[in-house]
Amino acid sequence: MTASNSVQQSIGALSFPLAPSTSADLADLDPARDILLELFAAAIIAELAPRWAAATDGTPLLNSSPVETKLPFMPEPEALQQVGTKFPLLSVCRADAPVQVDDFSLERGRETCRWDVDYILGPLSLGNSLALRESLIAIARVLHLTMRESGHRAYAVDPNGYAKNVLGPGDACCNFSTSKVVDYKYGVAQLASNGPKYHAVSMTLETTELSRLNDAAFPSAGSYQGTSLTLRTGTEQGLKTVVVADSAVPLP
Amino acid sequence: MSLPSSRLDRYRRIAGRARRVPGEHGLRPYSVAIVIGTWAGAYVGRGGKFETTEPITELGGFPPKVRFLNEEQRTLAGLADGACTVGPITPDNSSGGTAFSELVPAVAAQVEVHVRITGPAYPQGALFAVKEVKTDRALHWTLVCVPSEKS
Repeated sequence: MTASNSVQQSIGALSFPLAPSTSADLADLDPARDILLELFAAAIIAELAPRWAAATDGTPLLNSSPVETKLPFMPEPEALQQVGTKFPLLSVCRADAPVQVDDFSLERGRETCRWDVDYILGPLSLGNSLALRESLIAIARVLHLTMRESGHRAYAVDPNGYAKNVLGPGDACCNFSTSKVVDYKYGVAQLASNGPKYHAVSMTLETTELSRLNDAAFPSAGSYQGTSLTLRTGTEQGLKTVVVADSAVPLP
Repeated sequence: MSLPSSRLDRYRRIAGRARRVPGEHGLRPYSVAIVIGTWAGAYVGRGGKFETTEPITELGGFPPKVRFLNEEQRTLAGLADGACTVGPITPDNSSGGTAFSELVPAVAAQVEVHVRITGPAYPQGALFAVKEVKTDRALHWTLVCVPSEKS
């Protein structure tokens, strides 16, 4: 792909034309998913660390981390049959739901996308589930507050020592225009019919991403020497010039 | 008097010798292997994959039985088209066999485990996910596999 046959636009963190790369996968075309996954995992581990080891003593989660497995896809039975999985498990992915597309302005488009976030403690006995299931409430609130802060200090800090805003614009950021938690719910999930019940919390996020022209891909203003612009407005009684713009170099 | 474990080993060796016969006569057209794909990145699907393959064989290196389930069997079990069973597989014994840890390897989150079946319907081999490992028989194990990827 060359600059001449590309749309020359960006949306979210994805910019066309794509930069050449020898990467063995295309995950960097949607970096927001991996950023959210690592951000949430870091936040959960940091916030639960003071209580996790003692609370999991005597349970199957002994010597585990609050996030043992990170999945950038839905934890569906077909997927989990193919990969090594330890609990607790955290997954983040764009939801299997339509992305809403509309105009944000005359030249900028907007995509509104839902995300699924699932945290699964794993199959537990009644006693162990009663001992640990409040962790699900804590985790949902950690994620809620992390979204409100647009980051977490356990993941990345800015030069002032505060949590870096990784949901907004910038390199190694999600480049969301807006982001919020829509809802979450606690409960049990079954990954197979008649299979064991897994204690879990599921959260839905909503993000918007805007398109924009790639300024760097277009010639600089100096290349349009001699261009003039006149904008008039008015009624049927007549037009009145309200804007006149000329480059420094007059048209020949 | 033999210890129960010795008897179990003996029975498994006998079963293994019997299960090599169809393969010896060319009656096992499908070969089966466990494929472990380790991705270089933090998750599955990130950074390129390195595969190791461990064949599943009966005594003498002959393939196990592979049976593709018919529509009624698939419907009753809730399995996808192309689902199959692999086995009986003789468990590990003093003459050979297959260890349970070879069928269900303990792997990390960036590792995929599949069964590759190669034969008349899949001359280039096809990857199957292990839906279930039946371990309730002392003398054989059975894998229930569902299709994942064709070459």
